[in-house]
Amino acid sequence: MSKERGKINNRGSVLVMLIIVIAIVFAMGTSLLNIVFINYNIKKFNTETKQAFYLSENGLNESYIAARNLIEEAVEDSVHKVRLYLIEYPANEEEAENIFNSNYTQFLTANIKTRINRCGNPSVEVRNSGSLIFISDILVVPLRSEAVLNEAEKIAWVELNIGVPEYEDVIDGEYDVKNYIEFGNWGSKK
Amino acid sequence: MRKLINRKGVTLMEIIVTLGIIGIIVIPLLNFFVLCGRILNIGRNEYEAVQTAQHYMEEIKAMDVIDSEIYSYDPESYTYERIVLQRQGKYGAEIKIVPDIHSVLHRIEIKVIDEGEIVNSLTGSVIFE
Repeated sequence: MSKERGKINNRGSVLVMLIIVIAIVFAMGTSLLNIVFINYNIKKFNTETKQAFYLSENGLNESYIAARNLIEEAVEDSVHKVRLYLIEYPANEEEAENIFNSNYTQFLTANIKTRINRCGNPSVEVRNSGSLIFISDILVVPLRSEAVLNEAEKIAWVELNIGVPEYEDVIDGEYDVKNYIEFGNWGSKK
Repeated sequence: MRKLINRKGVTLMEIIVTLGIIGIIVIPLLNFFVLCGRILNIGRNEYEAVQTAQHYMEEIKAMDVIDSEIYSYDPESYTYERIVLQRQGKYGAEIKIVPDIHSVLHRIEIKVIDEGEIVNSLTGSVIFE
């Protein structure tokens, strides 16, 4: 305080300025550090999102393989049933074809969910909560695969379109499973 | 009229003390900025490494069949392998395509290498008939 009443001096003003400068530098440093940390977290999250995406896609690919194996089992089982029928009724070829088709479709619709649905990371499930049915000899199986990596979560979905092979093609050995299954309507989201 | 404001300015001693305090307090604060630079660099490397991995992953997924000129088959481990050497400003990579014995599924493993160390990795799968 000044000894002379009413007179203002500048003693201590440098300290005030110094405190202000230090406060500004400190504020700039902390805010910059904060921004940089956010930037790094975004980059890290981007990495995890990409890893989760390919993981969820892997789940769909594995489901494709599971469905393909199921088709082969369905064909094998149907052929076996047709053979048993033909032993009893060798002349009724037309009915044998019907038996093949109905057994094949029933086998697939009964087992597809249990084969595809799986827990873990990625978790895969058939999205249709009701029963799956063949429409115009095509079974559409909507799949959803979810993968989680730390904070990143990625969901990918796809439709598996499964067809019905001709009984004659199966008997003649012209049937190839890859012609009766395909992916359609791919999609993904965070 | 009486002078209300002292315009004598600051003394040399005040300036020296001020510079001393600034030196003690602000210089450690400057480490903040150095740290910021380092973190930015780590983030940039992270991004570039995952971009590199994604590039190779999409390259494989876009192939109809495994390109045997690029991916050499190792009969001992039953895998297709490719090693991309590190170049100026670019990461190296170790890529493996492992065919599943029982199906058409092929597992893909991509490791991004920087100066001999794995800095990022990506795994996925692809179906080759």
